Amino acid sequence: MPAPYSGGCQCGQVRYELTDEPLRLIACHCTECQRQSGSAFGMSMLVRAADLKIDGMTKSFTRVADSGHKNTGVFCPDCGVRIHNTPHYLDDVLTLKPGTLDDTSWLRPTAMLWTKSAQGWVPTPDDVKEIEGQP
Amino acid sequence: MPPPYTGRCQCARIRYEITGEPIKVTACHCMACQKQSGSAFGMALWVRSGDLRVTGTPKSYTRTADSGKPMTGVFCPDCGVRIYNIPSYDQDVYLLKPGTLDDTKGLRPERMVWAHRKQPWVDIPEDIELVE
Repeated sequence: MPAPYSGGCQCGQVRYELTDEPLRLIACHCTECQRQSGSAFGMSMLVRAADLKIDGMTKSFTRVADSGHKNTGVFCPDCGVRIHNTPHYLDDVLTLKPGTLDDTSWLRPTAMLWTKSAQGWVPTPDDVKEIEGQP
Repeated sequence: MPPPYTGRCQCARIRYEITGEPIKVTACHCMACQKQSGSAFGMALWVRSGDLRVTGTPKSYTRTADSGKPMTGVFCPDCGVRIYNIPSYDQDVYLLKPGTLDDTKGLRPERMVWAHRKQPWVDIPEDIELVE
């Protein structure tokens, strides 16, 4: 399915459009991604910052990741849903939370990261690369 | 490992303790859970509401679920992380987001619901019940 792709938060206050193809899609079992998602793993869709058009009010918070790099999370202040992270070590790239897309049926990550901190019950599909820690 | 179980949001303004054994763990592929998690599915650790002690000041919002019933989400206003949902169909149960636990090893859902919304790439172990 070609771009544009649309998405938004749970309450609908924040909507966005991704105007071009994403760069890459990964899943991550690190404990920060588990906390962010509240689930077994987080997912990150790497997109060019210029390709993401956000409509609505967002709030952000910045933490220092285990790598020592800063990472800013951008979320809806009304329902809390994370829209994207801004990794400060990559220029012009955002990591969109792809579960917020209106159509998620075409998603397929190429790699699963931080499997050493995985909950342990989610199998890594055969054609998805498994990486124990940070690539 | 016996209770209490501790957890927190990403920025640590909200912390919690679960003082009794949870009832069960489930996972859900519905679109609302995908949006909440930003990932492939959401998870819910069913705990008795009297067993959850939250410190900090969370924010909440209520939506109408696909079932037509209200569902309230409770989250950290500073980092957005969802701590738990309050279903209207059971006044005594909170659906805690178990990825926020300090120790998530050993979590394993007994069933996954809304399977027809599953992102096709996700493999589900054979011993976990899939419910349409």
